[in-house]
Amino acid sequence: MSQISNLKEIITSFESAYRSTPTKLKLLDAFSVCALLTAVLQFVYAKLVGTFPFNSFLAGFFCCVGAFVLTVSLRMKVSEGGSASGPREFGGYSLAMLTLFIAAWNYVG
Amino acid sequence: MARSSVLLAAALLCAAAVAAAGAGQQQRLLVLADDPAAIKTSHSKFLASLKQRGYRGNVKAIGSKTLQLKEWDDWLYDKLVIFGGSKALGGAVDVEQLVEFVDAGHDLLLAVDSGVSEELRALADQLGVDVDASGHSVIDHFNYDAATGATDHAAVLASNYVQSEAVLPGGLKAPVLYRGVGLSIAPGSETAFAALRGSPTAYSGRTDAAQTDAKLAGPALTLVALVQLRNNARVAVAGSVDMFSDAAFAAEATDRQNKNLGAVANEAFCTAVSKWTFQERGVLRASNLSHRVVSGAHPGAVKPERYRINDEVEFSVDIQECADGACKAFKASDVQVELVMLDPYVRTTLTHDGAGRFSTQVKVPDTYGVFKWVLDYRRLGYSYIELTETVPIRPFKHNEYERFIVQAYPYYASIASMMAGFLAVGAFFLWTK
Repeated sequence: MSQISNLKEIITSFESAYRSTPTKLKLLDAFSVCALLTAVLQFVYAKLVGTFPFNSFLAGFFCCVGAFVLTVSLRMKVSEGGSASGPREFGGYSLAMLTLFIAAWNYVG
Repeated sequence: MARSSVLLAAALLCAAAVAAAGAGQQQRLLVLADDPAAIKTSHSKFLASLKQRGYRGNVKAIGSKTLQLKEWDDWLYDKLVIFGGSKALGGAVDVEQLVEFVDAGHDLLLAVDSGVSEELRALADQLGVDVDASGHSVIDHFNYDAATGATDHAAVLASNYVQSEAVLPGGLKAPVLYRGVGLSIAPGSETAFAALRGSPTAYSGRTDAAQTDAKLAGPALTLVALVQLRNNARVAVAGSVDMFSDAAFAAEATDRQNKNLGAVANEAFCTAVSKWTFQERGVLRASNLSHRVVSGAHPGAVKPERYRINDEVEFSVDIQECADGACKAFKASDVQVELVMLDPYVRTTLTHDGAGRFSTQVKVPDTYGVFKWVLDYRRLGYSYIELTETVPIRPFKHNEYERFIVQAYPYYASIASMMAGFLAVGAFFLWTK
């Protein structure tokens, strides 16, 4: 009983704290969640339909997972307590994303 | 001058030899018997018919000290007839050499009777036919010939012959007069079969003692056995020497009620058996095995080095049937070909076009590896056809798939969506406060 009320307290306090985060960070969070969801959807699709062609499945899956990881690392840098926000970190992030996309498009066949 | 005339003479001789070929193709025949002079008189019609078909040779004594089949490595004869007696094989010939003779692809007609020697029994045994014990005869108390076998019922009238167009085209119109010993063939034999069997009332036993049971009886009792060996050499083993004699050829059958049944079919039967045994009937020749790609990786390629999976290929072979010296197109609807890699992946029946060309169109299986076409045709009375052709099958090259695979569309879409998302996030990130 007390555990459920504890959980409810955690959720409400988290929600109220989250409302005060900057929009930029919320945007990055939304993109990360989308990337993760897309990865899970691809996994379920491959399980249902089969893994042919396997290279395409790996390319799509790891593209989404890679995008998630890169976006999370950008968020860590840009959030309060990290280095200064701005275009510099975004430059590094976009270079990494570009490399990821080049690799993914080549491997998907 | 002398040299050119010798050359001319040699050329003329060669031409004469080629021109003088009959159905026997000038093959060398050796007839062995206990007593050559007696056999020449008692079996003159059979020997004359062999000579008339083109076989040249002579009759020798089976126990002759100068008998030889081989001179160093050359065989002196192509065909062999043995009218088996009780004398041992003489000269350089023994059972081992006779088996070697057959293994080398030559044909043998062996006629035995009840008193035959142990060596000839061993020879028949090696070739797949068991001769019944010494002293035993084929007895039939219902179908015996009253003219010659009234006292011991051992001269039987046999009419249970093999139904095969290759061995006995047209069948037999009358029974065969048979006085001799019984033979037995293993039921599961892949090479030996019976040309003449006992009727349901025939059995093998002693004529001088009463019997209560018989080990060999009825259709399991073989009278004349034919063997088509795996190297396509043929052997005939007949349990009666008298069956081939002039007296038997001229005899008239009399059934046990003393009614005359007309002439016996011995001459026709013995001629048919000797023709089959000496490869004058029922010989199949396969040639011109070919395969080509109809559609697929390299359409139109004949005998390509390899196939690709899911190709359409056409397989064809020419089969001829040779009988009485002439080879004609073979007509059969049960010739099959298999595409095998350990197990057969494809097995189809070939259709013929009436001119001897058997062909079929086959879709190559979806598995890659080293396959082979196997044509294995074994039918009663015909020579065996065993042909194989190895052909590897390769998978698709990576640029032989379609450019965009339908099953991978979600993956293409996911990467595109990641890119779109990155661009949207980036635009918002950089150009808002």
